[in-house]
Amino acid sequence: MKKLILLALVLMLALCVASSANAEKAFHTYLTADTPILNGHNSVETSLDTPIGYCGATLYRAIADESRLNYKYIGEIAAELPEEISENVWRIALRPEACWANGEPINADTVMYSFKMLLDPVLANQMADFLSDASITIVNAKEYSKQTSDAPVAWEDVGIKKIDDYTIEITTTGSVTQNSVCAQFTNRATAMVYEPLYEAGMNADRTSTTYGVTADQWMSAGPYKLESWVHDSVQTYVRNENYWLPEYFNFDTVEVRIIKEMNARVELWEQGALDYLSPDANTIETYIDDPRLVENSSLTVFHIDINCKNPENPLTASINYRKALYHAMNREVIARSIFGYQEPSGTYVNGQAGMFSGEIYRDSEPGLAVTARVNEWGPAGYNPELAREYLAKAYEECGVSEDTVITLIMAFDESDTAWKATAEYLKEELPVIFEGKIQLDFDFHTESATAYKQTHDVWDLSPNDWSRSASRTYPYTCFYYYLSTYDSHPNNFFDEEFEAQYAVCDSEEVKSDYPRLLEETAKLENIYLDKVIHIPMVQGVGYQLISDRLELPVDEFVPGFGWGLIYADIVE
Amino acid sequence: MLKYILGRIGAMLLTIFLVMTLSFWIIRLMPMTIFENPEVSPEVQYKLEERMHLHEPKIVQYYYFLEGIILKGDFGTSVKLRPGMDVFDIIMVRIQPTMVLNFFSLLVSIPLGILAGTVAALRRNTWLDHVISFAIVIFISVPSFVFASLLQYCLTFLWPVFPTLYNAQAPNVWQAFRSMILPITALSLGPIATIARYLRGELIETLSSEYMLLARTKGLTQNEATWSHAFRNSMVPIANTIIPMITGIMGGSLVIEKLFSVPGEGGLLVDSIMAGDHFLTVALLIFYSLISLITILVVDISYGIIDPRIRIGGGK
Amino acid sequence: MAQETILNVRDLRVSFRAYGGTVQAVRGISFDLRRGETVAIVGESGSGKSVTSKAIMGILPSNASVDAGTIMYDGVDLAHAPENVMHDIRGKRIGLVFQDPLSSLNPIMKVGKQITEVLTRKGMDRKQARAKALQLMKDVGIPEAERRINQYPFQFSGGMRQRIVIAIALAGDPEIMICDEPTTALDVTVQAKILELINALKAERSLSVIFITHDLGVVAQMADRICVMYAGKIVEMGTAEEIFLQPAHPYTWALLSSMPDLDTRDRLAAIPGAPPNMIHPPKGDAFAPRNPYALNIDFEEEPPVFRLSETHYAATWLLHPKAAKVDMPESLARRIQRMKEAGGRA
Repeated sequence: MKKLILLALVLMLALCVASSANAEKAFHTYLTADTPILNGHNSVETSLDTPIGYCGATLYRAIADESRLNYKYIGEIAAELPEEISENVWRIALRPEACWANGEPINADTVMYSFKMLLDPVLANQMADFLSDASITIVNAKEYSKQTSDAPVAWEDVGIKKIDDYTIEITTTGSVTQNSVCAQFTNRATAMVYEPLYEAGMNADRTSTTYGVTADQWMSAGPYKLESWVHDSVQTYVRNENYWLPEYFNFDTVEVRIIKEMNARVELWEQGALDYLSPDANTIETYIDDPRLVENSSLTVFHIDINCKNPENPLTASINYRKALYHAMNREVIARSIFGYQEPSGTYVNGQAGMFSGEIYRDSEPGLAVTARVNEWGPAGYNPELAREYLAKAYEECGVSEDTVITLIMAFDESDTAWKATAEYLKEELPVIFEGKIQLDFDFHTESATAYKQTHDVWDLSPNDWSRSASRTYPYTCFYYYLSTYDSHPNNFFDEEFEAQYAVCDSEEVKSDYPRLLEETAKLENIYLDKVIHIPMVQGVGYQLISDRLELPVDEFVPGFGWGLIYADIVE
Repeated sequence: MLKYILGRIGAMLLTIFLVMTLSFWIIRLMPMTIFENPEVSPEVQYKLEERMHLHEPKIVQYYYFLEGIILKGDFGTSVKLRPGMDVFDIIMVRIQPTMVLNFFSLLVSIPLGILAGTVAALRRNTWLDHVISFAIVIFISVPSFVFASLLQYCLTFLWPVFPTLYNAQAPNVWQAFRSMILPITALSLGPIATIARYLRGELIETLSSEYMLLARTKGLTQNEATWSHAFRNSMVPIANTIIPMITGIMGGSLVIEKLFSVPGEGGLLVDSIMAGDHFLTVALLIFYSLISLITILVVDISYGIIDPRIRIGGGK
Repeated sequence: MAQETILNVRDLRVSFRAYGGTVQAVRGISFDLRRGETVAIVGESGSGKSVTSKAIMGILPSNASVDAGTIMYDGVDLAHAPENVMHDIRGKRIGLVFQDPLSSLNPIMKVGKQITEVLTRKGMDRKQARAKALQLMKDVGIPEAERRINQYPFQFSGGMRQRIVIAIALAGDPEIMICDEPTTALDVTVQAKILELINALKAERSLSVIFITHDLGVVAQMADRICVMYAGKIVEMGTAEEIFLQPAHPYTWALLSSMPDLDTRDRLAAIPGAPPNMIHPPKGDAFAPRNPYALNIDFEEEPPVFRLSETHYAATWLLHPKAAKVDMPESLARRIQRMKEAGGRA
């Protein structure tokens, strides 16, 4: 017995020594929720982005450029940047050395199969639009993927063609830049899929595939190989020896742990077991002065939708009522104190909009003019005096007697603590600002806001955080969800002038002329402010803690590229 | 006895059917859309919903649901958490950590609870009894996740003895188990206290029973009498506390799994409800009730083994 | 009556710690048990008779203590013997039969095992133990012992259970058997059978028996000598004949009067009042407040024990030479007269 214990001790010691002797470069990061599946075709979750970055291959890849202040595209599967060989036709040559982790070649057939499956009308993949219509629109791609039996579209008519084994051609609907072509083909939805496994996982009626649901049903092709994946616990990656661009990557292994609890993440960060931490509203305070903390604007502008058809609110349709609410929001307090170290925002186009097109809209001259207009009213549009004036007008307009008290219903998900705190703040503030005329009441829902609105009429305010990634290329697309053509629109206010201006922005003529696009977007945003389509509140700010042992490829946060953690090196 | 067991299994199947029906209706009648990502175009959403018969009347959906489970053993496909993956497979993959967690918690709590209860009863009204009784009150009244957070903070952060999170790829069994110690401990404290509390009461009662006196008058020592008479008799009512205890442990593991990143069923159930993954939620509810029902069955049967009055006297 | 004394209780005092104070349950009792005889201890509940039996067995509850006195058995003072000594005496030398056979048997243990448990623990092998159990079961009159040895207590009737309890008490072949109200919980017809059994076993095994009961009627056919206890004291002691035919203490009179009499239609004479609170035992004679014949001195001073014959003693002032002569109640006297005529029928 004693011998056995001794043996066990020795064994344990040996294991400890063995594990510490490995001086490999191991990167430790985390996800707050695990990647549902690795098949980039059919999951909209952002948690797929990181894993596919490690073990997936796309035509292009964004890497930091020499200035260390920006990024550039390089061909990953593509041999070089796309070339416009005739009007709207882009030729992409592929690398002959590109291959899967098992050594099988990746060629034009792989690309064609991957894209065809992504757009497959029967599979109805949720990410199909990211290939057919994102920063570029490919001819007939959307028509093909959304075809119905009465109006069939053949695959041959789609603007994606194989020229030879190592060349493909893409035809776009309008004139586009080389950058936007590259941007489209860096999206993880366009990553290659491994045909044998994709087909093996296909069900009988070819309506879904189990490709990428487990590590066994996935084939790696990127810089790293998915070595093991215990769902909801950990993903581990090791260098892919067959990868053809190893010079850009420094880690030997990557460990992505799935940590759902913030406290656990903080503990691991403090122990040095994580190289990266994104603090939340409650933890940011602890780290606000930490030199390792870096920040950036996010894609999200938190806003509040207004119901214009509440049968129980006499002011519901009044524009003055909406303006009154717009000016009644003390965004400074809400953003900085309640949301926690976020930016107040009286405008809706987010701080990343336009970054793929060369200039961020908010930093452009037309964008700054809109911000200036808002700040003239008051800090981020907050002006109680003005709010009271507009409410008085609204009362008059709707024929409501002066002493009427109107109770607004704010409907929200109670589990969202930031919004809950905001609602409670507003419940105190609005009656003060409006001298008791406006009161606030809550209606909690557990389903999504969209589902709630489908079944409820009696609500006035509803928080929202929808954002549109296409706005990184085209800033005006932020407003996409507020068009009458969008089915699951978050409110019921539509305006002709607004729709007309959106159409102007969306025209090929404007889209191909970026300075003009910025102008038109500013016009659109001004109409949005005039009509108060909803109430913008808070510009999301992302905070990250990055370990000292990491040497980053960039010196500043690069929108659309971030800190380039995947390309970082470990220095100890 | 056989008839008794068969009767219990029959009742269990009926209960499972009721649970299936109930969970189907409760989950499906809740207003939620399966796809609510604004980036997915409405056409695609409609197509996907159609594939899952979501546009048919609820009663027809119920028919498909039952048909799938009863005839094909098909619980449906996950739509949110693991799109495209068979719900049954998802559950099977994650059964192991949950079972290890719950099983070890039980394995730890029963003997420790019995030990604590016995010591408290035998040393009644001494300082030892007071210490144990105080601990019992604390452990019963404070929910397990509070202890979990506390343990996590103290033993992984302030004084790092254990890993913070579950280690799914431990190089050896010991490492894997080491990462399970804290969650198991957190889950066990409540059940230990429950058993100890009941056993203390029962044992004090049986210790003063006539048959204990008789046992002593016939020449057994106090210890012998305690062991072979008081103890076994006290176990009869304790068997009954095992059922709520197991459901308690399973309930606790819903949160504990999340806290320690244990990739088990508990975290999955919470996530699936949050995400609105109908098929997965319903299948998990069925899974959990099946486990509960099986434990109830096992406890009922073992009850019969411990207590001959049920086995023979009941006649049922 | 020249047999040797095998158990000798002298001036035994037992008290309990309770919330209100100290309960003086037994206040100095003395009696002898001689080989082969049956001594009955008779009294109301709370008179201290069960406590006496527990003190003899050394199974007093933890809040009780023997304050004074000795219980001499085979050269050992049971009142102060250490646990390991008691352990060898219990079951083996002195057996105890409890009042309630339902609660004194372990409900979830087979009766055979309950009988043989001690034997196997003390080294007897299973086969022998089983044979012994079967024999004991036959001895106590359980039919089909072969089958019933594997049954549980709940499968037996009350009378059968009491037989098992007796079998358990006899398993160690003791020489003294204490029966603590062995028939109280049983039907009258069953009672008689159990009493017969105890008598038969006593004769067969030449047991000495201490028979504890509140029912004088039961004692009549069992006891050689009777101790009447009241409030922790023996108030009268004598042979069965002396107690039944020449009772001297008013309490004994009251007890005898309260016995149902099938021959006459006399009303049952219940004893008025309630036994005293033993935390503060009354001064003088404890029975005085309930005693219609009480003298003034009864309330002042404890009566001494008066010797009426070689074997008959009573503690009452009525026997004092200076006391006025008081006769027992008329109805009791008539009853005793009838009993004498019936030839000491019990």
